[in-house]
This record gives sequence, C-alpha cells and structure tokens, in this order.
Amino acid sequence: MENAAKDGFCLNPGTSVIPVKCSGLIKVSFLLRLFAKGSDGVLVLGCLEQDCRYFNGSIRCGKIVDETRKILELAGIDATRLGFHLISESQGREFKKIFRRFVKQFSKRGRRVATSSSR
Amino acid sequence: MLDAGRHPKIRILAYSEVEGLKGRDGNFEIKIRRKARYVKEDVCNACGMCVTKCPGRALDAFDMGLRKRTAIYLYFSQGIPAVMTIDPEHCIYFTKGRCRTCEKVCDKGAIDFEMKARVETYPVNAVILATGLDILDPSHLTHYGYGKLKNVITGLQYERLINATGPTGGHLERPSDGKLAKKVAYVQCVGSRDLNNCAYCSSVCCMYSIKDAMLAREHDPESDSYIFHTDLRNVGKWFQKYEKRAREEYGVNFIRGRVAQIEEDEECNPIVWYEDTRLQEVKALKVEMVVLATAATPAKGARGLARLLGVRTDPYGFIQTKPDEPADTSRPGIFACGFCKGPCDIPEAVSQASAAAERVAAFISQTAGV
Amino acid sequence: MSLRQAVVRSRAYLCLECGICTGSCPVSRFNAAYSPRLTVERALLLDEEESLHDHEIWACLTCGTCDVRCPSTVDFTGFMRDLRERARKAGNDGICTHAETIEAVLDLQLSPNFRRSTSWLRSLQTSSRGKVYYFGGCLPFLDVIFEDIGFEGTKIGRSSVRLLNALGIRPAVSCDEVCCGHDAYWTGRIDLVRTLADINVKAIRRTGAKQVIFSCPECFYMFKHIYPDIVGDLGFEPVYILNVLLEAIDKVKFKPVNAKVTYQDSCRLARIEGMVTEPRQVLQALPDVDFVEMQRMGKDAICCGSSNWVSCSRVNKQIQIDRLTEAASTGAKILVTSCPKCNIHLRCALRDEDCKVDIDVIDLMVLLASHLGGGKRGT
Repeated sequence: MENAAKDGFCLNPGTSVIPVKCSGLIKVSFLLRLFAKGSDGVLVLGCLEQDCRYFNGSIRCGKIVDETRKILELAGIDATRLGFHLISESQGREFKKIFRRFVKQFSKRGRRVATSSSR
Repeated sequence: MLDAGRHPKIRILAYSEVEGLKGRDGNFEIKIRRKARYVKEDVCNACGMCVTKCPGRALDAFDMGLRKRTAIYLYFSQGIPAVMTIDPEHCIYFTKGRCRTCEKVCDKGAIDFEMKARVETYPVNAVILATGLDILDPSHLTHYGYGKLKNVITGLQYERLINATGPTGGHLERPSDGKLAKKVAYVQCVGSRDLNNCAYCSSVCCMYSIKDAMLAREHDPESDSYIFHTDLRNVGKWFQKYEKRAREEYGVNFIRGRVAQIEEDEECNPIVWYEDTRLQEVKALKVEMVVLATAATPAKGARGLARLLGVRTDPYGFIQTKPDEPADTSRPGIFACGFCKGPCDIPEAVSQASAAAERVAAFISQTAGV
Repeated sequence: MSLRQAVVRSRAYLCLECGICTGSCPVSRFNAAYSPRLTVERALLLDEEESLHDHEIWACLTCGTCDVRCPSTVDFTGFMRDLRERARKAGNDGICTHAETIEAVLDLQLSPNFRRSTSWLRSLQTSSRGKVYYFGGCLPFLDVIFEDIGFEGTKIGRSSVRLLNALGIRPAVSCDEVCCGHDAYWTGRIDLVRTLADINVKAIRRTGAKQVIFSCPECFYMFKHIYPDIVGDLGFEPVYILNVLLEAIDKVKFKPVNAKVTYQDSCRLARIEGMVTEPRQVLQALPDVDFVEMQRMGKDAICCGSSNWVSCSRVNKQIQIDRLTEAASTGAKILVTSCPKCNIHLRCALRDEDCKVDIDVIDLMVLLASHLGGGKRGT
C-alpha cells in the first residue's frame, strides 16, 4: 500500500484499513462481523503463499475466506463482496488495480469499503 | 391377629369388600360383598392336599411375584382365617372348563365351584378403617431401572428373599442367575420425599433397610451392605442406637447421597452412580443386587373406600383425621388407624389401633347410650 | 435479577442436599470441579462474588437431567440461566467455541436489511405463503462451519422438507427468518432473545402460517415454551416434525434399511417434551430396521456432551466418547440423532484420537428421507 501511495494512490473516502499481523490470523467471525456492521465489501489482502513467514498463513486465510463466502451467500449477501488477493509488498501497481476493481463494484452505492491487509 | 381370630366376639369377614354404608350417628348399615372363594370357610382346614395336586399356576402376590403359586392357594401361612381360595382367573376349571382336581382330592368336601358372591348387610355402630399400605411401583423412576435391570428389587421383594419361608428359603439368591448376592446396596427415598411422587417421608424405610442390611450380614458375614440415604430418619426410641449397632457390630456402610442412576454391566451386576455428599465426589459402586426402599402409599382401594364411606382423604389418598382427635375421620362414627391415615411404623400403628378402639367405645356409649 | 431472586425463582431453597443432581450430572462424572449441588449451596449462602465469578457455571450443559430427577423440583437449569445472565454483566463471559463464528453469524442475522437465502431448498416444493411453515433455523450455516467433520445441516433441512413434500405438504419458508435464540437464552442474553423472537414471529405471521413445523428440537423448544412468554400469543402453533410424520406415516413407503440402529435422545425432546416413544415409532416404521436401545435412554439419556457453544473441553469430549462407546456396545452400526447439535458433537468426537468407536451418526430426518421409496433422487 505504501508502494502504491508513492505512486500517488489514495484510498477512497469511507475506506478503513485494518492491519493484521498475518492474514492467517483472520477469523470467520471477524469477517462476518465487518459485514454485520454494515460494510459494503471487505477486501482481504495477504502475502503470496511462498512468502508466508508462518508457512501456511495465506493458505489458511484462503480457507477462511471460502468459508465466510459460503456463509455470506446463505445470509443473502453476494460473495463477491468479500474480495481476496495474495500479493507481494512490492506490487504497488497490482494493489492499485485490485483495489480500484473491487471498489468499482460498489461505486454506485458509494459507501464504505473496509480493507483488511496484512501490511 | 391370632387373638382376634380366636376371640368369641370378633367376626372376621375376610375376602370381602365394603359396598356401601347407610345411616348416621352410630346407626349404620354396612353392605359387604363377600367374594366367592369357592371353598367353604367352615369346612376347609387348610390341609394343603389340593395345593399339591392343583395344576393351575399364577404369580404369588404375597411373595412379590418372586415365585408361582397354584390356582387354589392360601394367601399366606399365618393368614386368618386359614382357608384355601380358588383364583378363578388362573383355575383350569374356570378358564378351560375342566379339571376339578381339588374337588376330587379334598376329603373334607370343602370345594364348591357353584359358590356365588353375596352381599350381606350388618347393622353397626361404628367403623374403623385400617386398610394399611401399598408400595409405589418404582418402574416409572426409570433411572433406577426397576423392571428393566433384573437385580434391582424392592424392599418387599427382599423381605421375601431373606425370609426362611420365602421362595429361596432365606438365601439371598439374586433374580438374574440365582447367585448368592454378597454385595448389596440399599437405596433410600425411592419416590419418598419427592415432590414429583410422594412428597412425604414414608417413615419406615430407614429402619427396615438397616434391619435388612443387618440381616444380610447375619446370613453371610462375608457380605457387604451399603445404605444410600438422604438423611437417616430413625426417630423412634432406641432407633439411633440400632443404627449405631448396624455400623459398629455389623459393619454396614452408610453413604449419604441419593442414588442418581443405576446401570448394569454384562453380568447383570448393577452399577450404582451417586454423589457421596460428604466427600463431594461422584462415584460408581458395582454391587450384586440393589434393594429399593420404595415409597409407601395408601392401599390401592383406600381412596375408593373413603369415597364410599364419605370420609375425606388428602391428595395422596390418606384418610384425613382431626388434629385434636387423630383417630376420628371427617364423618362421625368412622375412625381410622395405621398407615391408611399416614405413614407410621408397627408400634405406632398398634397404639393407634388401641386409640381407635377407645374412641369407638366412647362414641358408642354416647350415641347408643350403652 | 439478583442472586436471591434467582434462588426464589428456581425454588433452590427447597434443596435437600441429597446429591441426586450431581450424581446424575454428565459433567460431574468427568469434571470433579463442577457440581450442581454445590453451585446451589453456594448461591443459598448468597455468596455473590464466588457464584458469579466461578468459571464452572459455563460447564452446565442445561441438559435437564438434574431437573427431571430433583425430588424438590428445583429448576436448576433455570437457575443456571439466571446466574449466567448476571455473571455476564459482572464480566464473567463463557468461552465462545468455534472461534465465535456462530456468534458472528448471529450478528450478521441481526444486521439491518438481513435477508437469508432460501436457495439451499431449491428443487423442493416450498412457497412464500401458506398455512404451514417450515422453520429451518441455523441448519445451513452450521453446514459451512462443520463441513470438516462431515456434518450436513442443509441435508437435514432438505430431508425434512422432502418428507413434508412426500406427505403432500408444501411448506412456506421466509427470507426474514433468523436464529431462534436458543443458545442466547441459555447463556443469559434475554434481550437478544427478545429481539430474535420478535423478528421471527413477525416473519412467520407475514406468511399467514397457522402451523410451524420444526426439525430442530431446540428451535421447537424456544417457540413452544419461551416465545409465548416474550411475545404473547404467537398466532400459530409450533409442531415438531415427528408428530406430523407419525400422523401420516402409513401414507409413505420406505425402502428397507437393513441395519442395526440405535437412537440418541435429544435433551429438549426427551426430557422436556417427553417425546420418547415418537422417534422410536417412526424409526420402527422403517422396513427391516433392527432397532436396539442403549441402556441410558429416554429421560435418562446422556446429553451429547456440549451445548450452547460455551464449552468444548476434554470433559465434553469424554462425555461424548463415553456415549459413543455405549452406542457401539449395542452392536448398532448407525446412531440416529434428532438434534443437529447431537449430530455435530458426536460426529466430532468420532474423530477424536481417544475414540475407538466405529459407528455412523445420521440424523433421523436424513435417514428417513434417504429411504423414501420411489420418487425423487436423494438430496
């Protein structure tokens, strides 16, 4: 994100960033509660699998996201509102692209988008 | 009972039921249905010849169903009057139409298959109710497994097992395999002091269970007895001393805690689960037989009889008596004593009987002017 | 609710200290630190501090075995509920199991504009309005959470609806239905229960239903016993699915089961509703079923070992393994459950390394629906 910021990127208003130590620490309940609190979308960003400091953090996060998406579907919330991408710290441009694309889905509503990031 | 049977002024109408009571103030007419026993009471001398030949069989109610009796039977050996009775539900002649073996073997000619029930009326000045007690069938207390686990029996069944004239000749042979039970648990308050069942203390169980446990030790000094109790309610004179004797001389184990559940292992040994409330520990004890001290209730017909006689009962079916005159029921001229008016033990029932007799004497002298 | 009020309301003052509760308690058998009797006694001494900060109050399974046996009719589980309500306020929260996912699902259901999906019922006959309503509760959500142990909540719901369809009933379902609040109720969050009851009852009334069918014993319990106290007259009658099935069981044909099965009684059904014979009648209506009974059955059945999502420790596992061992000792190959929670917990315990038992845990509705003779394919 810092790399993207150097490029002149700034987050949309209404976006909150929630830093976590490792995306593998994210729990289903945590993501669900973000939606319960009214988020239009949640974008989970984690390290590339091979970069994981704890071997399986990103893999674990992937499972958690899958599980959360299933619950969201059942709760009548479109699963695409939960975005999940693994990118490296250096991929500032990539992040910009992902973020823009994710936010675009909800641009008409113009509401808050929470972002969860592992950096 | 023998005294009453021999007394020239006492007439016993056994095997009979009260059908109605008319009149008031000491001038009653009581209607009594004398059921047909198919044996002439004045002829039969209970020699027992018929019993040896009778082919009919039924569960022996006096032996608590632990053995079978013949269709012609003597309810129990000390019964008054000592005469045989034919049980028409199990008699081969009554059910299948032929047999009459008893008639053939009875050299007194006491059998009378044509006998009919008859209703007799007697003028009486007073009535004393002494219908006694029945025990609660504990089958619905499923956690005790009665009726499902073979070696879980009631106190009365135990009484027959340990009795020399009982089905096992006084040996504690357990029902599942006839093995002598050496480790026996006595469970107190089965249905008693329980707001869902009998919300009163049956008052006799603590003492008879202590007696039972001591008897088991007397029969077999190697055996172990465990009494599981809520509180020991041995409140009579010397009763506590009796408990002390059981503890010290007979080595009976007393455990405070109501038994929670009885399970069974593959060999039909009951496993008793309980909380030892003194040690505050949940434990399981494997025993060979369990004796349930089931709640005592008023006799099954007592409520109906009370309705017939017009006397009040409490919610449990005990006859209500006056607080200041404990032998008097709600209807003048009708008195009650013993367990039918509330839990009591034998000495108490005997003194209540004397009290009722005295109240009757007083009542008659007042109403009849004797 | 003060401790004194809790004592009065549960009639704990009648306690004889006989110990039948603790002796009966499935938790106390394995956890010496927990004793219903001592909990009551402590409360009777009005020792607020110790009563409210005791972590063991979260160990109670609310299975009701003590309630059924207590000679003084002390409502121990009710007492526990009140105590928990107070303890929560005093900062003694229970540990929420399953990483709070279940709690979060509840939060999600309470969020504004929540409309659940009914797509999990596709290909079955349902409607949005009708005289009969089917309440699925949390089943599909649990499905996702317990996928790893092979729990199929959706299948239970689908099987129930299939059976209803087989009887010619086309139940109404609603997108506005939320959790019944059973666990919130037993963990002392009565305000939350009020909110949920309100949403549910309104949602069901909108469908015009006069009868609501439940396949989950806990939901049924809440609607039958707790909701009327909260919202008054419901305007519809809660019915347990077994009763609906039993009425018309002759109309349905089943395929032979050819297996030895035993049945795990649900706490709410057996002990509170007294529904002991009904599930057995339904099971025995299946052709070629060899039904065997466990020793502890009916009102004496042992709880599946965990409830209200507040405790899942070694003790709970021991209770579950003990129960599974008992089930297997009957020689049964299938253990039939009627409560989804029993299904989850026993399935989970089967995977425990200490569990040496081989038995299939199958929900009654799933077993019945999968043996429906003819008609549609399996769910």
